[in-house]
Amino acid sequence: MEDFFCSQTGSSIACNFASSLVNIDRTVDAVKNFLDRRDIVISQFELVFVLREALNNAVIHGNDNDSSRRVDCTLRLARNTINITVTDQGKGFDWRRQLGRTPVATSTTSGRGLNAMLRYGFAMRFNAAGNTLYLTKKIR
Amino acid sequence: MSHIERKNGVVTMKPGIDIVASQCAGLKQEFLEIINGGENKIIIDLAGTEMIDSSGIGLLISIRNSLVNYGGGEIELLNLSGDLKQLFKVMKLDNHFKIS
Repeated sequence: MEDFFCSQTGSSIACNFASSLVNIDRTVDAVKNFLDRRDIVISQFELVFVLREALNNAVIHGNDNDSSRRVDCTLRLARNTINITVTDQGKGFDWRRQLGRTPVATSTTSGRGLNAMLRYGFAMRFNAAGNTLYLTKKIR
Repeated sequence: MSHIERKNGVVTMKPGIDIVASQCAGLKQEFLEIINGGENKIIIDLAGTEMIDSSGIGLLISIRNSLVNYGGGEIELLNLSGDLKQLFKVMKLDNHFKIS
């Protein structure tokens, strides 16, 4: 299987890649390129930040930086929403407990990713195991 | 490789790239070389940096912790874009760093 590949339709882009930090950058570049060609009103900074957090979590925590495990990422544009799905091949995690945690102290160096996605206004849900993340935000 | 200038006891470091997970290991090494060289006042010039992710934020916090908590040093962030200023605000870190 290829290290990284993406496919597009008029309203969606799907990328699948071997877990590596460089492939996160490649996915983000492909999504930015996809969005640049479409007329949607959303902060690209916020979208890219949230996408990066989702992909970082999948590669670093979900797949434990194991390049034999893959990440699947799909972004779909619907009439009024943008929908992102990220799936890793890890065992998942207890997202209910994680989402209920108090935000980390300002001097703490990690543990901000999920909270940051919510703060940028993305609705978030997981599958039961916690290895698929669904993000949704309204667009105009 | 960041652009680094030393003037009047202050080191200005300009990464010129996004501070994201794929870049953090290299940037951390550059910061450690500065700190281990005895420098304790660092300005990070973020002109040319469009994105900082939570790994990058973690790196900046760890550098600040090293400088401020253990060495009595200072760290200042310079030339942030509007989006990056907003990011630090959203993450409630705008009072944790000196931002110019």
